[in-house]
Amino acid sequence: MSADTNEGQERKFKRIGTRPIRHDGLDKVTGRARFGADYALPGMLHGVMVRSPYAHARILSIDISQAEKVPGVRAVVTRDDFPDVPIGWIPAGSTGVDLGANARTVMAREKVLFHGHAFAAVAATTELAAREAGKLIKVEWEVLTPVLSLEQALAKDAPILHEGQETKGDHPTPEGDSNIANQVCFEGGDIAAGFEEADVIVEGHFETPMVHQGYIEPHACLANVREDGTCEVWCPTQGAFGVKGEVASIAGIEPSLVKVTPTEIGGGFGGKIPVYIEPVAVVLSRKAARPVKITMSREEVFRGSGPTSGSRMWARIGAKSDGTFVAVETKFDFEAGAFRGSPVGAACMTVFSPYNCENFRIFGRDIVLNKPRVAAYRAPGAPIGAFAAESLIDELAMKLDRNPIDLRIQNAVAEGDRAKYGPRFGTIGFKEVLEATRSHPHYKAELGPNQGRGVAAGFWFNAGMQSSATVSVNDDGSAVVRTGNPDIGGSRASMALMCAEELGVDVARVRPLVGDTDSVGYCDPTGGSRVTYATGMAVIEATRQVVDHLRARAATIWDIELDAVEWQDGNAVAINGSAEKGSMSLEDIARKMRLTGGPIVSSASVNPPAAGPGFGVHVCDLEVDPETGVSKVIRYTVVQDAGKAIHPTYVEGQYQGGAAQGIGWALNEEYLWDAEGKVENAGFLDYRIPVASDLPMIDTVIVEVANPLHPYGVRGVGETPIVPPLGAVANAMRHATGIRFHRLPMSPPRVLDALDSDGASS
Amino acid sequence: MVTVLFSNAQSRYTNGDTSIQVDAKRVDQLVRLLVERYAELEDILEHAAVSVDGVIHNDALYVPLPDSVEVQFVGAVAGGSGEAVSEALLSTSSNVLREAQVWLEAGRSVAVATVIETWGSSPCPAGSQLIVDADGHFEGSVSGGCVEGAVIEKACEVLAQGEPAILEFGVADEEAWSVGLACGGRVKIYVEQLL
Repeated sequence: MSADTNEGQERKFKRIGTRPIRHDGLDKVTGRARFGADYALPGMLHGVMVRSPYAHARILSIDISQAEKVPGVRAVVTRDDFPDVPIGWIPAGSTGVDLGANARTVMAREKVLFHGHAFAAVAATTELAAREAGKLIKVEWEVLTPVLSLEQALAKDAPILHEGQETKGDHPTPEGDSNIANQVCFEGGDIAAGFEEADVIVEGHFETPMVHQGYIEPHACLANVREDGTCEVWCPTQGAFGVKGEVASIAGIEPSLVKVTPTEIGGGFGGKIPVYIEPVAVVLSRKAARPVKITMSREEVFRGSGPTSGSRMWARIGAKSDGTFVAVETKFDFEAGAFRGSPVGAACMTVFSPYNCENFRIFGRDIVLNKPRVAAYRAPGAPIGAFAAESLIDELAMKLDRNPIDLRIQNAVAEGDRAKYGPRFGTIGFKEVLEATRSHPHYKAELGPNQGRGVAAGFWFNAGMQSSATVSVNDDGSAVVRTGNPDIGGSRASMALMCAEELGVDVARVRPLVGDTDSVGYCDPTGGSRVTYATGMAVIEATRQVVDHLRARAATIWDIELDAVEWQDGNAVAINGSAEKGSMSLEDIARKMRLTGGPIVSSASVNPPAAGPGFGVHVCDLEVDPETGVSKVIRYTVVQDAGKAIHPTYVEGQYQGGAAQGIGWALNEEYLWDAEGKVENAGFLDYRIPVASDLPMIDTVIVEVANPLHPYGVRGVGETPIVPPLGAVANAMRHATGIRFHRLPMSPPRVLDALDSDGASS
Repeated sequence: MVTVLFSNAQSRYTNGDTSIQVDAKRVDQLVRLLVERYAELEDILEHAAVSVDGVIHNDALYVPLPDSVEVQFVGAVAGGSGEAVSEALLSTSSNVLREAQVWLEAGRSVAVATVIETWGSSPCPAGSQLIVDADGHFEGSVSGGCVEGAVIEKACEVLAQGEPAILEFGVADEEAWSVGLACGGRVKIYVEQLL
């Protein structure tokens, strides 16, 4: 599968690009689809997590004796029931994992590091009994001063979260133990000379709050450890193989004994890659010798899972009077939460890479503090950095009296230009996307009073990674395509479409399945915008092998050479000297499989390089009520390069979903903390994500600049759509109110304050 | 031949080289050759993603390298993982003496400058060290940048002449302003050749 098989530009597709109803649609709309919390087993116990009342405290001792006596309680577990996995980064290829940190996130060991950090769990015959028992667990705490802001984390005498944690990364690093876990720096050219040369400089300090992914389905899982030591887990996850590995390490079980079945999943956005409750359910089940189910409440989801980093940023751009960027610089501080691993690295890699500029210094720090440990969230880090960069570009356009899209086109990267993180871009569609935005009717529409229009751009890398697929032919000529990637955004329909395209059959004749870890080849998680690209590549490869089998079977039946059989749209066709044989349908061949060698099944596995960047540009029209500070998005358009849209409806769904999440991040979403580090708004009533009535129909434009690395040109689309909205909404706010907001969210009270004080508090 | 480009952060381990030509047909061979040449790059190279003419491979060890491609070792970004593993994350300790040993083993002459006394406001405490080679390449810090230039110049002299020296910078010195020690402190630095 490489460039020589690429047909993305020329091939006339019959089924790719059509919009069939998703295979799981009926089950979803009738409520039959089974999500995590829908699974149950006979004799099942209910497990609950017991969570820390402190944001930072050392655990001196835990006494579970009273809790164990509560009627109905079958098991109480603490750190003592889990192996002590050492903290430390274990490289695996070019990525890696810190299993010790993961184990401590699931079950606190030496310390609790955030309010709501689990330190025990109980399984009982009823959830009520388990909760009562949880209250009777006695802990001797040494309460420590919590570190609740970046300022506090960086203070000279700051309490250190992790004794022995020295700053890694690019120099100069501070000496000794530090809450700065890592530093990243990308440099090029001569930054001082660049700014010297600039005619105009724009700069600003920006802040974004910690926000949650907000997936609608809370985490849930069912685990059953059996007498023979084998272990089954059912859970909504983005990667069942990842859960298998983490459960094995954290619970202390041989990986070969663990089987994980991914259930239907109600959103993940990166937040369902890590495990929170699965190893605990397994340990409870092992101790109680009964199946155990744990379901997190929404409140627990907010306190104990997700989120993504809050940030404090400074950035500046120097430009010539003709608009050419000559120097860009950033300093980013990102909240990692309880353990290292904020997405500041990706923020640094993405922030100014869409624009050519020789002189740059991009610096970022990953900082731990006593808040929930961050997890991946859709294009991790990129929206945060883009908020700063795209706000400044808008300022620059105003200063230079330039059209903001023209200014971006002037500086935009194209094939052969270098990203700030080093490599040259391959085939990308940034300029095409910018031009499509400029000529869109939305961009030319009139605005009314109190309305403003904002534009912003962004991109995401789009991963490759490992995937497997198996395609089998049924004796009626229908087919089954099986992969290990949980379907979050409609991927089953896309897998079926690619299989149907190669086979030349109606997509309704292809049944797509997501398998468990014992029944499919290894697949990396559904994430990184990789599934349609990488898993799709495995599906195409496996289907092409099936087609070769079908041709061979036809050749056997006709008693001619394989070379004399072509596959044309669902039929074997005899060619060359054998043309008189005519053609034979897939159904005919399938019916005779028993006579020609038995079942036809093919599998393929891939580990392709990263798909390469997909660029997007968003246009937002915002209307602000000057009396109340309430703002409303009145029109919104997403333009993005998909490479090739396999199922356009689900591509559009990704565009709309990312925009909606980004609008929420810009306008309303934030964790509110009390003085002790407790989240005060751990529910959707007070943590306000946009609902359908808050948003207009989000318009979409799919640009297709084929990706040469995929046989159909697929690029991956899931993450880019959340990168531009923060900047697009802030820029719209600027033009609606005349006020530049440097701090998110731009919630009504903040907007009203700023309007009342003439922009002074923004 | 392929061209390998190093980032600024990586060039700390390549004696400042930012671009070299290497005769390698595959990534594993390239890594072997680079580690022979730049021992301290090993951790970075083994755990980086590899860009071959802009195409980024996460698991690159056996990826072939056609003639005249451009190769870079970059932070791996797995969209879901949330952590961009920069070369930085995996870089080795900041111990300048360890670095000095690498330089010595590579046949370079090395001088070390050590802060032996400070008074008032001075950016680096006593014990802070800076190493310098005969070409003026340096690593570490004795003042956070204020007097580095003068120390490096003196270190080159020490390497040329073989005699150690004690340097003093203070606000009272006229020279202090010219070399940049404007913070009002005083610092005494011992410069010697490492043998």
